[in-house]
Amino acid sequence: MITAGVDVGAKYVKIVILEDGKNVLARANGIVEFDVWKSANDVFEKALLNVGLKREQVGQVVATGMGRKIVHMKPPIDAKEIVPEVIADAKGTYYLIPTVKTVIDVGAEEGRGIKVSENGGVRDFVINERCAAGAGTFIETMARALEVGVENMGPLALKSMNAIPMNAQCCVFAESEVVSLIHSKVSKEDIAKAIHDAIAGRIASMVLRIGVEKDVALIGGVARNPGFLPPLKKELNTEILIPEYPECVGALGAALFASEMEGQK
Amino acid sequence: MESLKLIRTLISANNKFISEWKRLKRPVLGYTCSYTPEEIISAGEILPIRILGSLEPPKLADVHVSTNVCSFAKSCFNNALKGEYSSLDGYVFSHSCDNQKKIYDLWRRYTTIPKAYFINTPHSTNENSRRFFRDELEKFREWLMKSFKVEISEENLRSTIRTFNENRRLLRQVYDLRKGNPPLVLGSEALEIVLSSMMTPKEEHNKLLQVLLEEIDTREDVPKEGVRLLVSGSIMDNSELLRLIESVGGSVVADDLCTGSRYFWDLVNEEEEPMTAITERYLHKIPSSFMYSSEERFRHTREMAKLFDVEGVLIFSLKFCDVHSFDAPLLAEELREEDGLPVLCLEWDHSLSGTAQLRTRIEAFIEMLEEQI
Repeated sequence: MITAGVDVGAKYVKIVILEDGKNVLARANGIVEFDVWKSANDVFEKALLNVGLKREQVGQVVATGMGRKIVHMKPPIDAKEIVPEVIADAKGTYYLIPTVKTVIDVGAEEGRGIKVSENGGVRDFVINERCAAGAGTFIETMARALEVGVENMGPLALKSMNAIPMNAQCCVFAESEVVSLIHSKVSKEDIAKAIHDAIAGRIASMVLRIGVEKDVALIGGVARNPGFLPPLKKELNTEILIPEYPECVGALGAALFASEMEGQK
Repeated sequence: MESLKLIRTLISANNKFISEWKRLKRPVLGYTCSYTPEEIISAGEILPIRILGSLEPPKLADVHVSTNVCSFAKSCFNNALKGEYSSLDGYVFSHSCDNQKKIYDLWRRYTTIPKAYFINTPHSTNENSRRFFRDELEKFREWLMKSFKVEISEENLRSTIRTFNENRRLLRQVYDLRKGNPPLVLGSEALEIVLSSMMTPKEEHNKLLQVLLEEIDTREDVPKEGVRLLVSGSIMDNSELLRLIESVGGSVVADDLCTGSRYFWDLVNEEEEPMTAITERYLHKIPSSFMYSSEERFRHTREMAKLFDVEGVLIFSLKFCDVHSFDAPLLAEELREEDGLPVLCLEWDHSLSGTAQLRTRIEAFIEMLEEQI
């Protein structure tokens, strides 16, 4: 039994192809371009190619992510079901870390805190409002201002020991704040750290609204950024686990739902 | 100047006078609004101190309140959550703006300070309001006496009023030092002096002010001349913004601030029955922005501008402050059209972030004024 989970995010499409509801056969991801539907199909194609499968050989597909409706009931992906991100996140994380009680998912545009129930469902959740200041796009925007690659932002931040307060209420305002820090000759390392501290502060305040219970897991693309974990740990005063391929956890959750559907047929 | 240095250390809920007060096992009561009749509190040997915020990001408060809540109310709440006010025996909120009124509920739920009281301050000054406010203050007095097991007699009230009025007269003398050119006290210093008055037993503060007024005559580091400015707005609980203005050539010689002139400008009538006199003073004091009508406050702002011979006005609104956001354009128009004064309206969020952008605009405003003068 082969199933797939498709996570059409704000910035990336992530796909997981699963065998018998447990073995991951393939993972693939790619940037979401203007034609979201085509982007999703391209990534799906890539995933199939990785394992030498054809679409017909894949059974149920479940989609999640903010663009999930674009592939709902629409071939070739033709996802028969769609689930909200928080539900897919909880499912995927619980599968990887059965002791998880709190999931923090920081993607490109959204930050989410999820309280996970005993059986991997969602007890409560919180999502940032409108502004991407507490999410990955913010780091990308700031990386441009600092003229460094986004992959270097985390390592750069780790080099700084200074704490410069920054008010990350809004991407646009924060960028002008960064510009004024640049003008006052603050080092790139310090600015990079200030940016990560600010986002961690935002995410922590948000997640604390639903309460933080151990074990705590961090997923989403920003979990790959080594500069984000230390300030988040400090703000929440707890250990935080990061699963392998943190960006694919939502897609994995969707694939697990697909397997359950397949099993019920 | 030694007295100024000391004064700066007093702007804290843990200053030496408050510690000494606590050591004598006397109660300390925090308050959030300049409409709180401190005389009634003080007459019961209870020390009233003003609850202030700080410039750090309010992370603990952000857990409970949304981003568009007044940053000052949020910052005070954050300080309380941090334990900054854990030595208080109680706190009293006044029905000022909606943000303060609603955040009172959060204080009661999430802080551990034992006693809490809410004064239903009226928002207009007619005869009905006067009767109502008089009753409210009488109830407040009874609450204080019962909760803290103290006596608040008419005699105590009378002597407290005298001490408070003395403080107000001395503060006016400090303000008078800014009428000349150059002013003998910086705007940032004057603000710190007023803030320290809110955090110190008034008898002690009166002594400090007397020393300060003597020391000022022989002051060596007399402030430089600059463009004479009035700063108008709601609350300013630290001198950073005024320092910023001073650093780019502005000389803040007058204000219309809740933590500035509006705190002490009006005296209590010493001839009248004390509770009536207190009611009158607080009801008819220079109004805050939440009071009806705004014109009354504008009149004071314009009077201050004339009295201190200012050349321009800076109006600061705190981000998400409804009442001041409504007032600012009206006040700006009056100042421009009636008094021919240039005005700059600015918004800030009670933090040090974004100061570079503020500086650019204040700098441009001051340069513009320098060219005109």
